[in-house]
Amino acid sequence: MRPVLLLAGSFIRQNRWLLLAFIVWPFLLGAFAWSPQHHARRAEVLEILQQEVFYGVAVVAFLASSAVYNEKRSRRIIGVLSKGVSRGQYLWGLLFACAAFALIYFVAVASSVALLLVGLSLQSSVFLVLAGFSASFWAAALALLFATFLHPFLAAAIAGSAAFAPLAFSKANVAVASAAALMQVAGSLAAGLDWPAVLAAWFEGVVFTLAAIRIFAARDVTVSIE
Amino acid sequence: MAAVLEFDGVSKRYRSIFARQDRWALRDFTLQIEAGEIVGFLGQNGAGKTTAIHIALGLCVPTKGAGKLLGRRFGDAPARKRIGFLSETPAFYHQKAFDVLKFCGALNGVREPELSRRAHNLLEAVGLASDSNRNIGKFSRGMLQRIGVAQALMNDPELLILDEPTSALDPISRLQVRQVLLDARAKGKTVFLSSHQLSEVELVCDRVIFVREGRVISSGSMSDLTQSANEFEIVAENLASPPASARNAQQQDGRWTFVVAKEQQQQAIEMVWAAGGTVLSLVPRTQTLEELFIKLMSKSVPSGGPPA
Repeated sequence: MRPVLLLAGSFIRQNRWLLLAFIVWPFLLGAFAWSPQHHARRAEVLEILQQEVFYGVAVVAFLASSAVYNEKRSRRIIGVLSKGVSRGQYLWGLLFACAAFALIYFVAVASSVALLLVGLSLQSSVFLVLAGFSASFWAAALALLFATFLHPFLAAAIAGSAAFAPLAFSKANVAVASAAALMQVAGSLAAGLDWPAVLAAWFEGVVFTLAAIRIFAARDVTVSIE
Repeated sequence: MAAVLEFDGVSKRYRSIFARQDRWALRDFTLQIEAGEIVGFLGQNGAGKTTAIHIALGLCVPTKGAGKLLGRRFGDAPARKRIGFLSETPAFYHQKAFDVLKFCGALNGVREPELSRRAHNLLEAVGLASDSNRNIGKFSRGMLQRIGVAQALMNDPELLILDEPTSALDPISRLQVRQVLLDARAKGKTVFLSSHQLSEVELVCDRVIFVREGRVISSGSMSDLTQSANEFEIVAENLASPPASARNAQQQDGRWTFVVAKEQQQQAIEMVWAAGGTVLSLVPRTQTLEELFIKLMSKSVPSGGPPA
């Protein structure tokens, strides 16, 4: 567990400016809906919130898809994987870092919404964070899986399509489209949480990561992906 | 003595999907490194040295064959905790030099307070103590290479694998790194040193392995390889001219120095005596590592094609 946390910490540290932008972004967007004369209307806030949820999941998926590629290009991967670190620990470290990004971002989103909407319950805020985080975890794990053998742009495109395409349908199946279902929940400030979707997202995220580890273990890390 | 690093018929093919090209970087590559040895790993650029090292560390997967690192199969993470590695182009996360060393040590399981103590001592050993609080993003290539040497020693490794450790260093830094290697030897560590600095290899290594086109083409102790058993150098005086069989003859201060083949040694001495000369010395001729390297690398070897 120690190498996983060390790697996640280093990855976050390397991307600290992106993280800072991630924290500030929801408050900047929220400022558009804020006025000293009146509190923001719920419909306006929900519109902004939906954008923030989609944006967060997409950025986390992109971050995960480019992580291995950037580490290979900078050759830092050689320095890390030549130590007593397994390929599995390495990928879990990257995924933990992406998950931490998502968690911090959705806490910032929930905080900005709470500032805009007087009377937002703590439970709704927690559900928003949990749904957004779970959807991001699912998308990041899927992006990481494809990034082990595909170019990061392709991996991000596949993960993004898998996460967002089901939103075109009015009712997404929770098992196949848990991320889409969770984004709908997070973006609507629902009073309840779609627990089957949360559990499906976590379970599928873990399965994607285990598959990624299996593929990554058979790959050369010193050769760039064509 | 136990082998700490073993390659058993390892072959590695790099494939380009779009160019539809195969390139064999290693072909039936077999070698053994025993505990306590300092081994020089020599070959031209593209000979397969770095690929062999990357396979041993589990960074690349062999196409054929297998091997062991400290008794465990290649790619085993616990075995890597016991080795130190310096890449030819060391790259680290941008943070303070002291924190880089601590991070590398921690990944290999070193804990506080030992972690900080070793980081301090190694920064001192590679001459970077005064830069310990500087971000390595602002370091020169030579400084990065010294940090690379230090991080490879953070876990007090049993086996040190160094890929071009002194290529970017000035003579003073090179001396410091050489001292670190000699200290490792004194402590009984095994060192596997890939380098193009032949004088460096000559100074520190017990054994050298030459690689060409992915195969080991020659291997032996430094003294065996550099001593040519087939030639002798003769120094003689009171001689008008050297014997007819002499090569590389040079005259200085009334003395002739020349080289003869082993089978012509007796005849040459008798000719010196017959001409009224005196033989001052007769020594087996040694060749420098550079001469040997050039000789081995210019020999024709069967090339191309996949391994058997």
